[in-house]
Amino acid sequence: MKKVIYKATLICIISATLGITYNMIFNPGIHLLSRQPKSSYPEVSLEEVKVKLEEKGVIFIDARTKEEFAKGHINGAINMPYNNFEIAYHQATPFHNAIEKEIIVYCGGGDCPSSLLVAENLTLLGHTNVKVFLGGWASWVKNQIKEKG
Amino acid sequence: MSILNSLWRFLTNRYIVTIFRLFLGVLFVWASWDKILHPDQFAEAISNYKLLPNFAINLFAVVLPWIEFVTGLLLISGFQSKSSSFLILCLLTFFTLVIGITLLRGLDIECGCFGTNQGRKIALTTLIEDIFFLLMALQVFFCDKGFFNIASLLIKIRTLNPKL
Repeated sequence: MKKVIYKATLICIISATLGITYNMIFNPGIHLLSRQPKSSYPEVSLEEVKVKLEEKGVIFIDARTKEEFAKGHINGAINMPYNNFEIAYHQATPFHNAIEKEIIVYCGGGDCPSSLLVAENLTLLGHTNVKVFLGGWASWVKNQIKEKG
Repeated sequence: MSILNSLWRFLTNRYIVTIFRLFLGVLFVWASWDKILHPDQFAEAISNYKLLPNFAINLFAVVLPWIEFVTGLLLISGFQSKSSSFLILCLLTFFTLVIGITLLRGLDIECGCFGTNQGRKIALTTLIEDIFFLLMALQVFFCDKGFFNIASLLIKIRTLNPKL
């Protein structure tokens, strides 16, 4: 049995090495020890989000799942879950002829990478003014509670 | 007693064991494929379980599919099948526990079991499925005697063609 456990451990080590090497070469975007990939998009703060909400023409995208969006979201935000991006994008009418419009993407906040992944998809589709609100829904809710309380 | 004997003989039949071994091998290779190609999406699926600390999620998302892939290949080839079936047993035990805990917590999330973007939510059927695979892995671990594996095939070819 000891031999079996020893060999199984060896298989794990070899597999992990293969995985990490493959990731370094073919998936450099996923950082091994950091949950949140570094943002290469301009970030907006909570205060800026509040100001932008008053402005017309700014599109807010909620990158969380449909269920999370239904429980609550920033007023006027469009739901575009990362795992259903293409369908949601083509269904969203504000996006037709909106390549230069300012778009702010958010998700759960904290360790959620969906906003960055959706931002990347939007950029690949030609959108030139994409920003991310990394504080996300968690930060927004906290602020709402503070204002009401 | 005779029914039990027959059942035992059926379960320890080398053809049945081999079929289970090959099935589990193919299953794990297939399950790992999409996760290897899209570790970012798999990391997202893992984070939805809210079980691992943040710093470990990406590492887990990168390493686990490769363990599944390599172990699957070993099972298919029959090389080091005892160790690989032991590893599969550990993985399946872990997955079964995680799915059980997630169901108890009432989280409505995607399984991420066979890849990302499958739209497959965690349900009782997922747990039952995993338990079934776990039993298969147990059977392979205890009953596989090296029938129809790559090493024995090579030996047979060598015996039939000594010139090779």
